[in-house]
Amino acid sequence: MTSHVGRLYSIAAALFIFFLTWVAIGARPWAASSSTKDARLVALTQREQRLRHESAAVQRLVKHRWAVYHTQLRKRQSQIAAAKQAQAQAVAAAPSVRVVNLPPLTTTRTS
Amino acid sequence: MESRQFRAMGTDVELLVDAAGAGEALAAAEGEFHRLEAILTRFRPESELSRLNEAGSLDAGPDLLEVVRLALEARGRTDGRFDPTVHDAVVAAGYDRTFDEVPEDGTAVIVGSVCGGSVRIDGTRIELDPGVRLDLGGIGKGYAAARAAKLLSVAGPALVNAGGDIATAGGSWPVGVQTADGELTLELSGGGLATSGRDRRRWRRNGEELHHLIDPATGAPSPSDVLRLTLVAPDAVEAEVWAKALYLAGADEAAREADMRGLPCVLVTADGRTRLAGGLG
Repeated sequence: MTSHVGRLYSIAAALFIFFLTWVAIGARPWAASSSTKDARLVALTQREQRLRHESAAVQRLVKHRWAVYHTQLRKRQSQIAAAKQAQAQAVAAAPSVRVVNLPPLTTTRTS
Repeated sequence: MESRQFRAMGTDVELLVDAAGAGEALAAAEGEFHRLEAILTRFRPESELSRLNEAGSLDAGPDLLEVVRLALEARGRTDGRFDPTVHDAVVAAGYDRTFDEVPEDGTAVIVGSVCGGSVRIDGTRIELDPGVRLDLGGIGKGYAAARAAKLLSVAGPALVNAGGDIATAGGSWPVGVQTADGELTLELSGGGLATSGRDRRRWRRNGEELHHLIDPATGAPSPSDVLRLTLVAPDAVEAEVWAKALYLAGADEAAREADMRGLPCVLVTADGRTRLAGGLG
C-alpha cells in the first residue's frame, strides 16, 4: 500500500517536472539573448569590414611609398656612382708632384 | 726636346716639347698665346675685355666667355679671395698700364676700391653692374698656358711656362722653385703650377711699397706675410686661382688650407722662411 502511494507521488512529481520543463522550453528564454548576440555580431562584422578597408588603404599607401622610395634610392645610387666615378677620374687626373734632386728644365717665379 | 721662347701677356713664355719635329705645334701654341692676349688684355682698348669694361655689357666670344665663367666660379670657390672685379683697385694702386711702363716710384694717392660687384652671364652676353670692370690678369695666363699645352700635346709630352704659370700635358718635368735661400726642384707629372707673390710686380707710391695682389675685401694690395707662394693643382687655372687665394690668407692659414685641400705648395714668408705644405713636406 505504502509503495503504491509512493509510486503515485513519484509519477506525479515526474509529470510535474516534465510540464515545468516543457513550459520553460516553450518560453524560449534564449530568444532574447540571441537577438542581443546578433547585434554584437553585426557590429563586429562592420568593424571587421572597416578594418579590412583601412588595411587595404594602408597597404596601398605603403606600396606607393615603397615605389617612391625605390625610385629615389635608384636615383641616389646612380648619383653616388657618378660621384665616385668623377672622384676616381679626378684622382687619376690629379697631378703627381715630389721634391727631387734633379736640375730643373724650367723655373717658376712670381707671375 | 724642342723649345721656343717669346714674349706675350706682359711676360716671358717658354714652350717645351719632348719630341722631335714639333715646329708646327710650337708655332700653333705661340699663335694661341697672341690670339688670347688680344682678347683678354685690359691694356688694349680694342680687346674684347676692354670693350666689355667700357660698355658694361657685351656679346662675348667663346674665350672671353669661358675665362669670365671660370673666374666667377673661382670667386665662389675661394669665398671671394679670387675676384675678377679688382680692376679699379689695381688701377687705383698704380698698375694702370702694362707693367713694363709702370713707374717704379710716384706720388699717386691710393684709394681702396670696392670689389665684388655683380657679373652676369646670359647665353653669350656678359653684363656688369654699373661701375664694375674686370681684370683677368689673375687667370688669363693660366688659361692660355693650358690651351697652349693642349695644342703642343699632339706632338708629344709638353710643358708651357708663362712667366711662372705652368701647364703640362704628359711626361714628368723637373721644375725649379725659388725658396728663401736657394731653389728646390719639384718633379711635376700632370696638372699645373703657379707662383703668386709680391717680389716682382711691385712699385712705390708716396714712399709706400705696393704690389698687384689686391685683397678684394679691402680693395688694396694685400699685407700678407707671404712673400711668394708656389702651388700645384689639377690644371694651370686652378693653380693660379689657389696660389692667389692662399697668398691672401697669410702663411699659417695658407699652410693649413693647403693641407686640408691637398694642394701641394711651397711658401716663402716675408721673414725669410720656407715652408712646404699640402702633402709636399
